Amino acid sequence: METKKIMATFAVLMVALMGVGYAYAHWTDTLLINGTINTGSINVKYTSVTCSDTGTDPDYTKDVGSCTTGISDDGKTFTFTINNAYPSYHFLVTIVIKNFGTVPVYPKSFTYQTSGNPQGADPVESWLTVTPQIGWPVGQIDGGQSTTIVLYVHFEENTPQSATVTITGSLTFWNWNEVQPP
Amino acid sequence: MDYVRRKTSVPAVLVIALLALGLSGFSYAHWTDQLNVQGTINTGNICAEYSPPIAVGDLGPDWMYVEGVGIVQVPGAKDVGSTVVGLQNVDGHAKILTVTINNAYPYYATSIDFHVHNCGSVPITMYQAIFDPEASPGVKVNQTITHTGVVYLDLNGDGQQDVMILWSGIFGNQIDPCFAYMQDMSFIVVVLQPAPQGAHLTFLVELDFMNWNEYVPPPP
Repeated sequence: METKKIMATFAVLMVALMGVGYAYAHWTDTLLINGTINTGSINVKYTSVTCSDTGTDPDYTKDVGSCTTGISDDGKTFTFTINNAYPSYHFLVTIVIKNFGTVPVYPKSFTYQTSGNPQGADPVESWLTVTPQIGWPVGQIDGGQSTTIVLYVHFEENTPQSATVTITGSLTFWNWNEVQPP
Repeated sequence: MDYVRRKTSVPAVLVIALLALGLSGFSYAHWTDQLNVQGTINTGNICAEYSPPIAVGDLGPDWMYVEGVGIVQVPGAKDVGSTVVGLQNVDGHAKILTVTINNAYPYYATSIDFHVHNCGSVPITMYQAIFDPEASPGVKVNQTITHTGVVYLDLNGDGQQDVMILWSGIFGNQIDPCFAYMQDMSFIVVVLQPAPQGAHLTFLVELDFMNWNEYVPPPP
């Protein structure tokens, strides 16, 4: 009985060793693929935002309303302030956006919110109309290239008096190849 | 005087000595002749090497990977990314295929077609491809494939897959030692959405070959 056990153990050991021997015994050679991927970047910034109202209100003879603009240090936000607006006050806003990255971008979405519209006033969209004149919808912007958007801003007759309304918007860009043009 | 017959060991020693001498005498005395075997074994060798040309799919306007469709060139495609390949010699054989992709972006895709030549004397078979974590610091998981298929790689260790490699190299095909025949293989690299911008990412793939007769096809 003891002999059978020893023989069985020996047989198992031999089979295991054969297996190991097979795994390590074959000849091998190796080829390498050495891959390097340098990814590009997208980086859009406002480089210029100007209002056409720089004194006398456009198409009028008095300097009543005013429009001032600014760009944040990181170029990602532009601010505008319109003071003393009145019905039929209007002007053009010219926005220049540059892609400082290396990969073309395409606008994916534009969203905005308004707040501060006085109670009882009509919705902001009804008394403040913004009509693109040039460069809208924004197309692809290649790396290192700029695009210019010109917007016509007009205050309608139902503009509420003495109102302070805040508008915040967001224009989102994606790498060009992942946006389906409209 | 009593004669006492005494036992002595002298005859026994004599007998033993005679026997020993006889045996020795026998071994030295007979005529001899002998046949010899002199063997020489020249073993073969296995040697795999890349053989030019290495073909790159991106030769101008970029190709994109579209889920469910594959690699396509969209209308109005731009030439944004680029792929450069090269071969490096080790001990006189092209052992390293370098692939450099520049200005890549999500879903940029590039294909690389290459040939493997058997520079040895014994047929060889590619049995596995290892995406080596030690040689590629960013690759956190050692992935070994033995079938054609898709491999996802996290090249910067952030837990997200940065690159997809569609491997079309055929495992198990025998490549005979021959100046003419070469095994055609290819793979496609697709940059995925989580790939970081402005990054330098690397990967290393080992293609392992063995003598043809010991290749055992892995289970499907």
